[in-house]
Amino acid sequence: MNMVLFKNEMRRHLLAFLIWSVVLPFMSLMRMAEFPEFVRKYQSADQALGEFSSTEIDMFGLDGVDLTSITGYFGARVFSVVVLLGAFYVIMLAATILSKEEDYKTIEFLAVKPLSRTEITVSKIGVVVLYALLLNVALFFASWAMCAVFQQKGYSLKALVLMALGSFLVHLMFAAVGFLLSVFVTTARVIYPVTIGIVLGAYFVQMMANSNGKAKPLTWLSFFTYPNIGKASAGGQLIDIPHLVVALLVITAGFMLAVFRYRQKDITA
Amino acid sequence: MNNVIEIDSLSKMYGKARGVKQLSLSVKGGEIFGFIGPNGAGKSTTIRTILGFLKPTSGSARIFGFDTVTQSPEIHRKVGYLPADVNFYDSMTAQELLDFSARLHRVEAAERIKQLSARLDLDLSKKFRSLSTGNKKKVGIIQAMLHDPELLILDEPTSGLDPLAQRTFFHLLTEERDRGCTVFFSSHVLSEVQLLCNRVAIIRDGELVTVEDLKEPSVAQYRLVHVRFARPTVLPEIPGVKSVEGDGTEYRFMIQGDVNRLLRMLADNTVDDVRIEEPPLEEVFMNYYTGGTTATKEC
Repeated sequence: MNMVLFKNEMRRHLLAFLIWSVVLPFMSLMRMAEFPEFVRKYQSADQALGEFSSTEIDMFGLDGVDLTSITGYFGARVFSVVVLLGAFYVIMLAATILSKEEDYKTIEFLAVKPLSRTEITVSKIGVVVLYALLLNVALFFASWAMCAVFQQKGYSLKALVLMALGSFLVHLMFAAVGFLLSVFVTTARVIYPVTIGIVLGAYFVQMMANSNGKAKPLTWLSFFTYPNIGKASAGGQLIDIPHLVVALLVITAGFMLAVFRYRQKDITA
Repeated sequence: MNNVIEIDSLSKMYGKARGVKQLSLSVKGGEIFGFIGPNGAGKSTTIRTILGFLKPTSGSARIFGFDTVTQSPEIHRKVGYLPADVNFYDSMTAQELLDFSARLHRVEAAERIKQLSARLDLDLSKKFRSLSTGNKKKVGIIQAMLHDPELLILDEPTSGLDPLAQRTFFHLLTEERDRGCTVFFSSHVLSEVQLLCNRVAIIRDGELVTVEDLKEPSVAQYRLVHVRFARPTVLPEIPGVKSVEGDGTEYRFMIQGDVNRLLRMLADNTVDDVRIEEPPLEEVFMNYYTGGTTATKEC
């Protein structure tokens, strides 16, 4: 890693990060602000779940979730939106931080400095990982503050931590895929729709796989299904071992393949 | 004098399309070496391959003894590169870009940046995106020189520069050469190649055509001839005559080597006017660009 490059990249991408780290908590706040009214309307968890069809319960993974607890409500109604939108930010950052250099031809400035290609890619991966982490830290503190303000029967800090970790894991998986993609696709007009398609595709695969027993194996293709938010929102196990292993493999392999491939390719800006 | 650049049978193919084929040349330390050729000849491919942007299909290149594929960072420490199109980070000011470049080179270059920007008349406070093409080029020039490199690789260095800036740039180049820096530059402006270079390589269709020492007699032996006959006259075949243009009475052509047969032919005919002069380098090298055909063209 080259710290000069790393710091410069952090500065260059700071504004986008700040915007997302304000907008996402703000959207969470809008939804969390509905919680007091929600619990006034529904006295019990079963009653609250009764508002959803069985298909919706399966699709959004609401089975067993106590919507009348603030962390359950957060997990069911806020978390999925936040992790989805955060995934858009992270995958686009990861997919463009390297590819934009070739698309805009600034790579000629960088590639002729005394930096190896490994230093260039690792420095940029560092920026992506750090911003994904900082985004989830911001979301965690925002969710903590919202739970403290809107809670009525107390809340589980452990549940909030687990959900933040789950979100970070999902974001890292998308980051690894996005970064690997950027080594092969360098034009903005292709990379933006592809990354949006990857995230949306994963989201719809999750819903489809959850709602159709025969399609259950497809959940392996959707990173959103890896953390079990139903259990985590109640302070239970965030992720089972097989899913954790696959997640770590995706993250490691994605980044390592990108670094390796970038060392071999022609820079054709 | 050691060779700074050694290119040995370098080939670069883009799939089936040729980039360069079996290119071999060397550049001595301390010289200003020109690299010219028509569009699409392979000049930029050669430069980008020796800088490590492209991986060669076969052959090799070394700069300061370092392999261009496996030891790029070591090479880049000693090299300053000016691309033909200067595309740097839009949102940064010229000052920020140059400071960033200096930090990546791990040099303290504040004074050097200030000196160079004063000589090139560049406002460092402006964002790169708001600079004109010429001023962007100036940022590129300073970026290439600020760390006192041992080798400058310049691709179309004067394109976009106004005449005053060009003159300043030429002074900077000769100062660099006097400091011991080697310069390798690719240009379409043959007058500046003639002005600055010790030697020049000509590339066409991906292959090296020739390397000429600009002080050597073979280059100096070219002459440009204008002749107007009193009567319509068919110009006979004379060894060394190339690129003939004429309307039957007035002719313009190049001759290389012995001029005695030409003089005897002129003496045998009635001539209204004749001029024999040293041609601009452009005329000499256009022969190489076009393959040196000797077709007669009606004006």
